Formats: sequence, C-alpha cells, structure tokens
Amino acid sequence: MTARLPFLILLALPACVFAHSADDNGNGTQVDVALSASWRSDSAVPANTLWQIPGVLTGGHALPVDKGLSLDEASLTLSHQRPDGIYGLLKAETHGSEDSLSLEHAYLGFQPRDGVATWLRLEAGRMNGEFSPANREHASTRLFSETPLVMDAFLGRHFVDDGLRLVARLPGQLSLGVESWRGRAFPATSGQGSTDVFARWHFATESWQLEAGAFGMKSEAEKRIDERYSAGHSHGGTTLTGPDVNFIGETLLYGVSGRLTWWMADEARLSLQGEWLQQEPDGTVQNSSVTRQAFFTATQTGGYLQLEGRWKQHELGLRHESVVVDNQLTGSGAAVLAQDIPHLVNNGFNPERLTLAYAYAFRPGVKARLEWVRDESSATSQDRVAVGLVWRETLWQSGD
Amino acid sequence: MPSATSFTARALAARAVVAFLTLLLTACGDDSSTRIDTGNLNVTAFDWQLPLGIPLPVEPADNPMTEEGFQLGRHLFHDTRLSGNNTQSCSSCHQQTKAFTDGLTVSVGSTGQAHPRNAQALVNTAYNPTLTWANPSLVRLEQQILVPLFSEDPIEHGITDLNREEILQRLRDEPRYAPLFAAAFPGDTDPVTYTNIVKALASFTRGLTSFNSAFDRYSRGDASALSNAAKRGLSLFNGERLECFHCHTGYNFTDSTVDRATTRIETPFHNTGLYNIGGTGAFPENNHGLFEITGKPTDMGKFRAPTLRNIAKTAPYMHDGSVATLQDVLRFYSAGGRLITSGPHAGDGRLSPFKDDLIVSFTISDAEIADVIAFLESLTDESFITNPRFSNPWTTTP
Repeated sequence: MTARLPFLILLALPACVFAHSADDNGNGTQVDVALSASWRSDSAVPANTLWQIPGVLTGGHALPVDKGLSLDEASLTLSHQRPDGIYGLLKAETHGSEDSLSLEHAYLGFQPRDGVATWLRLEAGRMNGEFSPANREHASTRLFSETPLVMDAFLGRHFVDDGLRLVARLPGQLSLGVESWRGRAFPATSGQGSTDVFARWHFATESWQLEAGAFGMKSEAEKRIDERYSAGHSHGGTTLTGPDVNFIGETLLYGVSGRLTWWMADEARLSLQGEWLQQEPDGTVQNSSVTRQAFFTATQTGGYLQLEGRWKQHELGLRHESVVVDNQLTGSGAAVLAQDIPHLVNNGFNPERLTLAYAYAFRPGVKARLEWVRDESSATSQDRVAVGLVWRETLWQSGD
Repeated sequence: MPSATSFTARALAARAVVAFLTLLLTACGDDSSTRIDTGNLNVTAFDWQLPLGIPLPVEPADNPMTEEGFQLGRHLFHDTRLSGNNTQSCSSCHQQTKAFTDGLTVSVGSTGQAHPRNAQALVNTAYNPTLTWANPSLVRLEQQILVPLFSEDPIEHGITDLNREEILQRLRDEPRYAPLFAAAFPGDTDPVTYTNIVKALASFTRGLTSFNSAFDRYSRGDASALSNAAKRGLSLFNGERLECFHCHTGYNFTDSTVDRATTRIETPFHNTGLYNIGGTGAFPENNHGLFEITGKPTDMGKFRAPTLRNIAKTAPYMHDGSVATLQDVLRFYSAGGRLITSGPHAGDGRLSPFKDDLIVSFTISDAEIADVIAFLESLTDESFITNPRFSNPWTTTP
C-alpha cells in the first residue's frame, strides 16, 4: 500500500478546494444558514450499543445515525470580508447525535489583495482542516447525508481544531498548504497536536474539470480515550461506557483525493469523486490503571468512491466505502487487552457501506433527499432508508 | 475535431481515474487482520495445570519453573531435616489440609518461639507481588524463603552458621535426594547448596496453584456448582453495601496480584481498623505492619490483603490470628473496625486515624452473614487440599 502511494500521487496531482470559505464572499458581511434533517428507518446499531468500527480505535465525534427523525446538521455562519484582505468567520453548529450547539469555527484570515504576496493566504483560529475535501463537507453540502466511513474511522467524523494555516497558490493551479493544530481534534490529544501538509491541483477545460489533492499528517496523542462514550454519552436513553483503554503514541495519516467532473450540458454534469486514506498508528494501548498494556501498530486504509449525476434540479449518486485494517498487538498484555478491546481485533472482516442517493431541489436552496444504505460497517449487515430535507441559504448579505 | 489540449486533458484525466480506481479496488481486495504477539507470555517448561483464562505467573529468569525443581522442592518442603534440631519443616506451619497454614493463632518455630504473625496460606503465592504480611521489599519467593530458614528472631527453622553444613550433609546422606538434586540442577558438580535449596523450595511453593473451587466451576458455566445461599453471598460480596470486592478482587480475590500480563505492579496494603491503641492509631509492638519497613506514620497497621481462596480452611484470621472465625470477620467489618474495651490493646479501631477509607460500617443480618460465608466456603478447592502432587512424599512410597 505505502509503495503505491508515490506512484499514484504522480498521477493524481494536487487540486483545489471543494468547499466554501470566507474568501468566496467578497467584501462585506454575510450570514448563512444550513440545515439537514433526516428520518431513517433504522439505527446504525441497536439502542444501548456502542458503535465501533471493527479494527479501529474509533473516537472523536463519530457517533452512529439513529432511527427516526434526527438533525444531521444545523449551522449559522457569520462571515466578514474587508477590502484590505482581512476576513473573519464565526460558525455555530450542531450535528449528528450531539445535544448542544458549539462554536465550530472562529477564525481570522488574511490574503493580500495587492502587493507581492497575493498568492499567500494565512488563517488562524478554530477551523476545519483543509487537507481533506471530505473534511470540509457537511450533510447539507454533499449529496449523501452520512459522513464517509473513513472519516469516522480515522478522523472521528471531522477534523476541527485550533490552529494556523498557510496556503500558497502557485502557478499552474497548484496550491500548497501547511497546517498546525493544537490537538483538540482526534486523533491527537490536547497539548500534543497535529501537523499536516497538503497540495491541491486544479485543471479545467470547457467541459472537464479535474481536482486532485494529497496530504500527509502527523498527530500525537497522550492517553487518548474514546470520548464518545467516556463522558456518559446517552444513546438510546442509557448511558454507555466504552472499553477501558487509552492510546499513547503517534498517528501518521496520508491521503489522496480526486474529483473528475464532466459537464455534459449546461444543466447536466457527471462526476466521479473519491478519497483514499492510510492511517498508521504507532504507540501503546493500555487500561486506565496501566496494569495492562501492549504495543499497537497498524496500517489501516479506507476510502470512498462516488459517482454522481446532476440534471437540472435532480441529483443521483452511488457511493461505495470500505475500510481495511492490518493491526498488530505486541506484548505480554496483548492477549488480555485484546479481550478488553474486542472491537480492535478484526480478522477477515472489511467494513463496507454502499449508498444510493437521490435529491430533488424543489426550491432554490431547498432540496429533498432519499437514500438507501446497505451498511456492512459492523458485523451485522443492515439496510436502511433515509428521507431528508436540506436547506442552505444566505440570510443576509451586505457590501462595503 | 477535438483539440490537442482537450485530448491531453482527457488522457490525463483518464490516467487519474484509472489510478484512483486501482488504488481503491486494490485496497478493497485485502482482508483485515489483527495479529496478537504475546512474546513469552505463554512460554513455560512447567505444567502449571491452570484453567483457561488464568494467566501464567511470572517465572524469575534465574529460576525458571521445571518439574524437577518442583519435585525437589516438594521433598525439601516436607523434610524436618531442613532445620537446626530436626523437628521443623516448612509443612510444620504450612499444612496441606489447612490450605498450607497451621490453624494456630501465630506460628511456633523449631525451638518453641512464637512468631508474631499468623501463618499465611500458601495458595497461589506465584501471583503475589509481595510476600509476607507487610514487607514491600520481599518481592520474590527466593528472598522470602531465606527468612524462615535463617531467621534468629524469631527462630523458625533455626539454621545457623554452626549447623548449616551439618544440615546439608543430612540431605547428601539421604539416597532419594541425589537424583532429585541432579535432575533439578544438571551440570552442578555439587548441587546440594542452600542456593539450590531455596530455588527448589521457591519452585514448589510457586507451583501451589488453586483454581478449581466450586466458585470456579460456577464461573465456567456450571450453574449448579453454587448453592442458592452462596449465590446470594456472591451478590453481597460484590455489592456496594459490603464492598468486599474492593480489596478481595480479581481471579485471586486480592488486590495484590501480578502475572505475566501485568504492566504496572501494584502493591497495596490496608489498615482495616483492627487496633487503635489509646486512640493513637497504634498497633501492638512488633506488629506495626508496613510501618516497620517504611517508618511512615500513616503506614501504621497496614497489611496485605491475602487471597480468599480456601479461606474456610485457614482460620484463625488477620495478620495475628486474632479473629477466630469467618462470622467474626464479617461482624468486624460490619462494625467498621474493632473496639477493644480493656487490656494493653484497648482502643476503638473504628476510629483509627490510619484506617483505610474503604472500611466503613454496614448493616448485615445473620442470614446474610450465613450467605456470605456460604460463598466464601465455595472458594475451597478440595483438589488443592488433597492433591497428592503437593503431599508429603516422605509418608508415601516413592
């Protein structure tokens, strides 16, 4: 797997960002709202059951979807762009099974409008990592309501942290960026931090568009627990507690991404998009009393590939996702810990998911979504149907 | 007609798509795997006869367990010739029928001198991170065994510089020992040494494992192995009212346990409120517990929580044998300590300033006491008590 990576990077060169930033607003202030709600015919796991992706130390905010009506995402964004190139963004958001509204983004940015450094962009504050296109998507921006499985497995659903970002836009539609993070976001822990470098390349013709990217990230963790279930998270009305295990060590994460779009006509396009990640944790797993510990190393890969078509107000897409793990537990405590962390032991099972989605934008900024999901991400295969509504709108906009 | 630029773009795009699909499809083709490498966790030359789920004990690198060492140790353990006056063997204070205790309040040495402490049961000592009642520095059997053999105060086996060679000669003169020593220590030209004797005794003691009680059979799926009373007692034992499990926990019913899978060894000692002489928290002289080693005032009266396996066979109880029966033990804990109203040890242990925070009083009925005792009795391993493998070889035909 690792040997193939440089070869593939040569073929799929870096590309530009998919998603929104304050830079897109132009001068002035803007307030945006986004909401996605879905009714699902079944939960990803039965009530009072932990959701663990087999073979992976899952964590962060990767919580399972629930049966019934739930709010996938709700956000309110305030952004302001000044003529001198300084801009700021505040975003309050709640998503998934979280019960509270949190300040998801709060950052300042600067991109000179004139002078010699117009090709540089600097941002600092709380923001999501730009290294992965999927990390910048939400239930309201993508065709599929559920986050890609690989994002749940390796990044705890999404990577949002306090940090600093510097992006250089080079000739030939090539962008290079570096990000440094405090460590609030999985797979790091606070005080240990993460750092990543990424590259993007964008190429377009009249009817074709190719966006490709690659990144590498290193994160450090000190006694990282599964925070999803350690604070008494209530899922199904009963407080669930995860296994008594924490991780100490570093995690290397690499990824390549690509999106090829073919504009068949003015109102019709076909796109093929995917992302492939490889995670390499290298450290120690132990129980809280440190009476049992073992070395844990792994090469875990995952990705998604989705084909989407859009014609006027209609969208249709098919997404396939999978995760493969190659884990090793070493040490005298390995066998005992393997019993204490049964979900970490995965032999012969590759979590997979297949989703078919259709969306119809019956009003500007509002669309209805229908999905069928074959979920084989855990030992029990499950089919579920989801019906949802998505609303994205700029509530207010002013200019200077 | 397509331009060269659009042709190049399409070609590049096609290569990218093919590369990407190849990457994803190839990744999907591999199967997940998890390898568990426990190193030498399960490597041993000795038949420990442990049930599934019980981890192997630690074997010292300089005295790995062998059957030959175990058998030599068994002979030495039961041999009164391993004492100054030919009257005392290890089994004098550690009798198999009593789970390798002696049934006395405190043990008595070869010269009649009383030991300040109650003989500890030699049950699963291989899993003890510290030996004796209250010495955190005695972490190996090979260290601890030197004490009863050579101790002068109190005298136990009574081996001294004056008689040590004479004792070794007794062993050399015993025909059964020559092949035993040779098998246990091949390559030694003169294997009959105190170093080898201690190693062999340690091997035998280490090999005294007990995991076949009625409770064990119940844990392994035999629902009929425990009486209803014992099941109620189990629930009380592990409940938040009695909280026995805080100190008597795990597969060996003690919070002082180590095995090969242990990473951080914990060696807890507890003051249970047995004494509080004059309200100062003091314990009787020459029985101060952990304080005797550390000198820390807060360590006064702290002792190691022993295993409860075979506890019904090891009366009397506590470090000084001052609690006669299991009923008395339960009433002592339900009171949250012991009140001594008169005599040289008068004081209210319930109010000891050094008492463990876990020792709080609780209410318990006579019927519940009976249930808990039924559970404790279910921890008796009859196969351990009667196992000929551990028995006195000098009273049976070889």
